[in-house]
Amino acid sequence: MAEKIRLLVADDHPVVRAGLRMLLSAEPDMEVVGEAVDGKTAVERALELRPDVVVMDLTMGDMDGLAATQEIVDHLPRTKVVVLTMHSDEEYLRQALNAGATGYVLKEAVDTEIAVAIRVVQRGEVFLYPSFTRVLLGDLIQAEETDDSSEQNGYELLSDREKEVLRLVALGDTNREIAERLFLSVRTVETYRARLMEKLNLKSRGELVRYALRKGIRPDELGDS
Amino acid sequence: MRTKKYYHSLRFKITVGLLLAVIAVLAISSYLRYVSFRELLVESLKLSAVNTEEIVDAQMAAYVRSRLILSVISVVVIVLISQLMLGEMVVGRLEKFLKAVNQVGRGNLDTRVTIGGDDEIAELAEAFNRMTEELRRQAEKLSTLNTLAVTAGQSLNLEQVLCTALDEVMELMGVEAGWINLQDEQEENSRIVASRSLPEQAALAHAHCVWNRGVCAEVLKSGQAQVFHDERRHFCPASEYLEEEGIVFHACVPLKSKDQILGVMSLAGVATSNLWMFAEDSLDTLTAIGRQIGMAIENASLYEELRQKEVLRRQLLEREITLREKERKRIARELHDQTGQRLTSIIMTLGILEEVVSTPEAKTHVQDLRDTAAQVLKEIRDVALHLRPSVLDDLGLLAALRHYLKGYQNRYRLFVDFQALGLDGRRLPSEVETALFRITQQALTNVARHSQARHVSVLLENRGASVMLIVEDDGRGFDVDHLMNTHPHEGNLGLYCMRERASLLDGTLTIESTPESGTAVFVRIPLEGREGDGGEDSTPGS
Repeated sequence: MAEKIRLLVADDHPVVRAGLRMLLSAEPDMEVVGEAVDGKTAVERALELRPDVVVMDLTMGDMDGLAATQEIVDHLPRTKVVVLTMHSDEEYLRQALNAGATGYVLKEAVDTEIAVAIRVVQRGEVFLYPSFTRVLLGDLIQAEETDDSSEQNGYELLSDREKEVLRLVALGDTNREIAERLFLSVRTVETYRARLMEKLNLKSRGELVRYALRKGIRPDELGDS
Repeated sequence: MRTKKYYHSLRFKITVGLLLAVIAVLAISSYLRYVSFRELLVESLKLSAVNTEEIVDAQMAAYVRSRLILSVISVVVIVLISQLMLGEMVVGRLEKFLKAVNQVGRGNLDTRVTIGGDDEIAELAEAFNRMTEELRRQAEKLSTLNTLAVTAGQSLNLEQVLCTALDEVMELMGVEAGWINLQDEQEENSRIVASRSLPEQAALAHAHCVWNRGVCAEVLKSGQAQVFHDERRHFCPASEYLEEEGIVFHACVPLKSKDQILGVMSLAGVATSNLWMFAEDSLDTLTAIGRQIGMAIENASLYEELRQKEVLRRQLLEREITLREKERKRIARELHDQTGQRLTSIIMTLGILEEVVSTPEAKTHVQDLRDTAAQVLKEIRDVALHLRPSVLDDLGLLAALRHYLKGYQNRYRLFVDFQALGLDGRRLPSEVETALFRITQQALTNVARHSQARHVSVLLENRGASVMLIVEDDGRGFDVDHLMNTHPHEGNLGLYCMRERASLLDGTLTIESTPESGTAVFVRIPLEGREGDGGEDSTPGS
């Protein structure tokens, strides 16, 4: 065997650290060179030991696993980070990937996956808990769906009133507020809105707002006036 | 106008009647004179000629005719002249009177008639003036009572009600000083709540007024307003000091609501200045006024009670919500951090054990154990998530909503369109994040359960000074007014909770629903005056 993979284990729970040490020591190509109990010490130990891979818990008392990951990746480009967490929410995954982690393992699968993940990231590849792949794929498909590239220029077909109603709906006004502002009845506003959505082929308020943003009908950010 | 017509016909009838009477008198007197003159002539000429009688007759007839015509003419002239004078004397005055009556009829109670002479018309005018004066006073009383009722209805601030009432009554009664004592919680004592021109020492003396002694006690016993003329004979703790001010009479008015006497209003003045106060009906008026004020006191205190209860309710609700969220968060964290980590370590140990054990049977057992532990860990994570998603605290509302919506979409097979603006990398105060998350959860649960919608839009926009959330579906809609105006019950409790959540943060929640085309929930929560990037436990409401 060539050189062993040098590991730093960061987790605030002694039982988990002990378990990991035991688990990873059983792997012939791995060596746990250090432990850390929180994000801050993880960064310090990493800078000191320059490990190949850091196994990082995300929620260490104070949620500094992400910050620590960021810091380590910034300072030690050769060191990889595998996140080991209980959080199956893809939001955490998103954040972890943004911070620079290349591996993401759920604690429920720790025994079977952690060693694999460490080897994969060590090779410079990405390891994600399998169910996440589907999540990411779903995002991608959805993004394509909502990208209304086939948008026709229906805006010119709108009457002035419809344009005004479109703008106000996009701004988040209630039908009643729009009615009061334009001196119309609520029912009339509803009719205008239904008609303009049909002309622009919009199915929901969300689509309407995005349409308005793309067309510059309403600004991206609103300060309260 | 009818009166006028009638009046004119009366005038005409009187005129004709008088005319006929005068003509008749003249005619009769002419005839009598004619008869006696004729007889005289006949007597004197009886001897001279045979035909004399006829001649005289003819002569006389001619004379009488001319006399008669002359008389009639003069009578007509006289009557016309007298009629004119009579018109001036009777009808003119009556006309003046009528004008005054009409004025009063129109509500001008300051009208008075001045008619000279000492006949019946003059007397009538005087009586009329007295009546108008009385009417004016009654009207004034009524208007005071009305003003009091209005004042009492307008304000629900007890002190303000009483001060205004006291001013009104003092002006009506024309008294120099006045004060209102209200019964204290501790039965025996009273305190002065409102006073005008009450000497300081008198007020001090009155501060310890005891209900069961002196004038107050008498009024309390009778329940009727009373006037006390001689201060010395009627004990009032303030009388000594009042006398120094030249005040010699003192009226006490019980302030009653239903059958309970809540206090006493005292009016004091210099006796001679206002005598009518002593009249019987004045006391009745005062008693009525006392009842009005009593009702106002009751209203004000009921309102105050209600207000305090509302404040308390809000505080309790806020506390309840805060505590619940805190508790959920604590349990979720504990499950995560303690139970979760221990299970993790068990899984790892079992993983090692699996490699170590030699018999296939033992291996299978260890594997089963390991799988069970992993399953328990998963379940615990779900329970924690359900209690309070840690992502909300760790990563914020945006991440929490994205995560929640994904799960929701899969669970209910509804297409969710989520759009957030002005929130990238920005955290809202934690109590706002919690409230918006819970409101969204509730709104979406309603959509899934009741709307039969296919699309839902969730819009979240941070506008700096406020944050806006809109949840809109394309379902079948419902009657908002009907559901929100009925008492909280199983069917609308969720809506009430959402509204309460928003209102506790001084925000608003509006629901608009159109049958067969969908429902939109609009939430706006002000951010001004709140701590900036929140997200930590210490913030209230988390």
